[in-house]
Amino acid sequence: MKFRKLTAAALTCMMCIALPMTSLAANTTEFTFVDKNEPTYTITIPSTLELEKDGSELNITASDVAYLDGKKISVTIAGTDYYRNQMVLEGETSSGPRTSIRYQIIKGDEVIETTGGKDQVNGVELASFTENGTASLIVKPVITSTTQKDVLYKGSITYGIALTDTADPEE
Amino acid sequence: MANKNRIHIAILTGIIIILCIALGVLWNKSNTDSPASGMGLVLDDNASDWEESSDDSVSKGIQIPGYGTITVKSGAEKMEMSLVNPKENPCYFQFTLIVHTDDGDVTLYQSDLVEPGKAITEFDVRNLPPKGTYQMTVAVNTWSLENPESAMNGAEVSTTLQVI
Repeated sequence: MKFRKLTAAALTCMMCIALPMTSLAANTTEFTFVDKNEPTYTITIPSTLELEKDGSELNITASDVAYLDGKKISVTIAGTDYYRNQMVLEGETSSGPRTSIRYQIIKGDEVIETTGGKDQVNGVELASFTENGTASLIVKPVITSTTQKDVLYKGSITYGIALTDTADPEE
Repeated sequence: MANKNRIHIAILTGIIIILCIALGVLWNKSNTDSPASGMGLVLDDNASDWEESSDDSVSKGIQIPGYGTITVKSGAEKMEMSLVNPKENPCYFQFTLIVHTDDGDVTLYQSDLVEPGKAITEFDVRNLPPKGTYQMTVAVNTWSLENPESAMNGAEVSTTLQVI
């Protein structure tokens, strides 16, 4: 009997506490914000590019561009898969030995290419963006009299992507 | 009564054994389904579905996510950062986080392969430098979905790491 009375009293107290808290909750607005480490832009690079003799279009696109804090997105050449980061494609001849061919990237009037040195084009800017957009360049194989025919030449590029100051002292 | 208990225990044991066998078969199947696992490359268990949608008008190519400033607490053993492989991509991503300090380059984290449409949002970090601001490179290596041993064009995304 005593236990039942104590239980009833405890439940009554709990209800009395809960009611005003419910009315308080109805009068307040709780604001929350979490700043997350998420992407603030997207750069689309070609997955593959089949080169034509007269050149092929290489498109680099910026999308989902959000807050850049007054900076620009700079897309550069970070390296290639060839020795000394040269702009070279390699292929196998039908008789077995490997052979190679150079290629150029043409940006407006500028021709970007390597001539055998190490890291010659690392850091060279291919495109820059301050908002969504697409930059187009031309990629062209350098064909000479010694270029072997009927060989599938392949290679890949690593692009450097960074937020940089819009007034680059090197430009 | 004792016999009845024994029967119940036997039935329960049998059910548990059957469940274990079924789970084992399913787990083994999920690890051998993708071409990547067949080639000895490992899919990252940490990766989960990424719900954010990207610009659908950008179709062909490899979409590389870029980052502004990344913030992490000093001494943290885990880092929250969305390492995303957008669902439109034709390749697996592998992420490596490298911090450039005065004492040299330090690797914070390297992931296994992340499928398109998935992201790693939390991961263990090691060698976190002390409080300060550092340049960090998020190296993105890519491999063809059809032939996971074939490397595709990749990227090195430069960002700033703030250890607070």
